Amino acid sequence: MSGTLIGTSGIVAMLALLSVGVPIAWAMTCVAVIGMWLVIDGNFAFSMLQALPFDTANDYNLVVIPMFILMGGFASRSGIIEGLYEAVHRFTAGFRGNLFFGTILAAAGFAAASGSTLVASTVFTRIAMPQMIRFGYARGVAAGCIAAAGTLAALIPPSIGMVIIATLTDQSLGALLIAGVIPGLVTAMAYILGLRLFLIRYPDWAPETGQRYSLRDKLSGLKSLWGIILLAGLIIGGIYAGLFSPSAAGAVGAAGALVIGLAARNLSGTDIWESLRETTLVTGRLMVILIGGLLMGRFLLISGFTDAVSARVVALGVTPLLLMIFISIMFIVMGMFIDSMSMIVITLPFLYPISQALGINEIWFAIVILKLIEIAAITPPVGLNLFAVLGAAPEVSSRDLFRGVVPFIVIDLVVLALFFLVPEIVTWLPDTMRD
Amino acid sequence: MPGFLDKTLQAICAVALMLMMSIGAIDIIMGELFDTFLPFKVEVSGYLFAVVVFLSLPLVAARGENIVVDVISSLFRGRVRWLADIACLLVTLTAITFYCIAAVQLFRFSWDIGEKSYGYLPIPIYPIKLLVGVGFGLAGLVSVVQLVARIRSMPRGAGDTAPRVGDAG
Repeated sequence: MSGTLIGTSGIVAMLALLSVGVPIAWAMTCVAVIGMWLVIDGNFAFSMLQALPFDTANDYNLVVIPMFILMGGFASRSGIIEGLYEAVHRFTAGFRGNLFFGTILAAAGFAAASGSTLVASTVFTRIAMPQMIRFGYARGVAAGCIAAAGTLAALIPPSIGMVIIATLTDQSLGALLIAGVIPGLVTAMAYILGLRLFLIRYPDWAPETGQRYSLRDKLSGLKSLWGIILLAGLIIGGIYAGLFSPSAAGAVGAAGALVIGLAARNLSGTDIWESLRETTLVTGRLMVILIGGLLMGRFLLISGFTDAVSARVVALGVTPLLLMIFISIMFIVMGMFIDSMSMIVITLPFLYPISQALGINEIWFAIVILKLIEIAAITPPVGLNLFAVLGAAPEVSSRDLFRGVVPFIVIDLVVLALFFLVPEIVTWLPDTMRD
Repeated sequence: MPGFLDKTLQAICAVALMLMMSIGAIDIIMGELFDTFLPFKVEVSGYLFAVVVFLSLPLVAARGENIVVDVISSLFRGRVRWLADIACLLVTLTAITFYCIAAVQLFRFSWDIGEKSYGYLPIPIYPIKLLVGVGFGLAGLVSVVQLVARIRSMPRGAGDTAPRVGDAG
C-alpha cells in the first residue's frame, strides 16, 4: 500500500472516529500511531510517542499557553473590563449606537489582556447586555455585536489560537502575535463603520440613549484604564521591542493582572483559585489535542501524503488565490458545524504544507486562517461565541441572535476580502519587527 | 475520581502555575532592573509546565471535557448512543494505552541512566518523566471507570436517560 493511500486512509479513519464522537486528541493519536506503525514499524511509532508528548509539554515556548489563559482569568475577575467598558462608554455617549461602539472598543482593549474569545463574549454579555436591553436596543443585534466583538481577542495579542497555529506550523510566535495587532484593530474599526452604515438603514436597532457625560466625567473614567494600558503595553510592547519572549510576556502579564486585581481589591482568594483551576483544565484540554495534532502531522509527512498532495496541487496549476478562496469556503462551511480549535488541529497539518508549496506568506496565511476561524465562531448554528452569549443571556433567543449576527458576518467577510487585496495589513508590522 | 485525588492534583497544578508565573515575572523584573536573569528559568518553567499538562489529564478525563466534534454523534439516541459511547471509550483507552506504554519506556530509560537536566541546575528528569505515565495512567483508570459505568447503564428502551461519558468521573 502506498504512503499516499495510507495517509488518505488515515484522514478518512480519523473523520470516521470523530463522527462517532471520539475526542479529537485520542482519534488523532490512534490513527497516527497505527499509521506510522504501518508505514515504518512499531518501534518508530513508539519512539515518536515517547519523545513528542514530553518534549511538547516541556517546551518553554509553550509555557505561554497557560500564562495567557491565567492572565485572561485574572483580568476577567479583577474588574478591569468593567472599568474599561465604563470609560469607553462615557466617550462614545451621544452617538446613536454608542453602546455597540463602546462594547466593540472595550472588547478590543480587553483583547490586549485576554486571549480567549469565549471569556470576552461571556464577560461582555454580563456587562453590556443589560444596558443595551434597558435602552431598547434590538436584542439579536446587541447579542450579535457582543459575540463578534469577542472574536477580537483571537487577533489582538495575546491569542491562544496564534500559539496553537505557531506550534503546528513551526513559526515565530512573536512575529505572529505582533501580526495580529493591525488586523484586530482593522476588524474593530470595520465593525464600527459597518454598524454606522447599518444604523442609517435600521435606526431602530439602537434608539438614542440620551446619555451625556461632561468632560470631567469622561476624564475621570480614564483613571480605571491604567491597568489595561499597563498590561497591553507590557505584552505587545515587550514582544515587539524584543525585550522578552512571548512566554515571559505571558508570565509578566499574568502576574500584572494578579497585582492589578489585588491592588483594586477586586480579586478574592476564590477568584484566584478559580482562575488557576480553569487554567489547569483548559491547558490540559489544549495540550493533549496539540500533541495529537503534531502526531497526525508527523504521520502525514512520513507517509508521503503531505508531499504528494502538495506536488499534485502545484502540478494542477492551482494559484495561491484559488487555494485561499477554497480554504475560505471550506472553513466557513466547516465552521457552521465544528468548533474553532478542532478545525485548526484537523486541517493545518495538511493545508499548511500545501500553502507553503504555493509560496504563500506564512504569517499572512496564519492570520487569514485565524480570521476565518473567528468568522466560524460567530456563524450559526455551532459558532462557539454564539453559545457563550446565549449561555450568559437567557433573555435572548437563539433565533434572534442568529439573525442579529448576520451584519457582523457580512462586515467580517468584507474585512477578509481586504486582507486578500491588501496583504500588507497583516505583513507590514511583523516585517518592521524583523528589520 | 475520588475527591481527595481530584483536589490534590488541582492543588499541585495550581502551585506549579503560580511558580511558573512567579519565575517568569521575577526573571524579567530582575533582568530589566538589575541585569540579573534567572539562569534556570527555561528548564524549571518547562518542567513545571509538564507537571501541569500531565497531571491535568485525569482531571479533564473525569469531567468529560476532552474536545469532541459532536455534529453527528449528538444525533444518536438510545442504544446507538450507548454503543457509540462505548466505542469512544474503547478508542480513548487504546490511545491512552499507547501513551502509557511509551511513558513506561521513557521513564525506564531515564531512570537507568540517572538522567539529569543539561541546563543550569542538574535537576533529575526521571521524576518528571514518571509524571507522564502517572498522568496518562490515571486518565486511563478514569476512562475504565467510565467504560464500566457506561456498559452497566445499557438502555432498555428507545428513551435513554443513561449518563454521558464523563458523568461517571
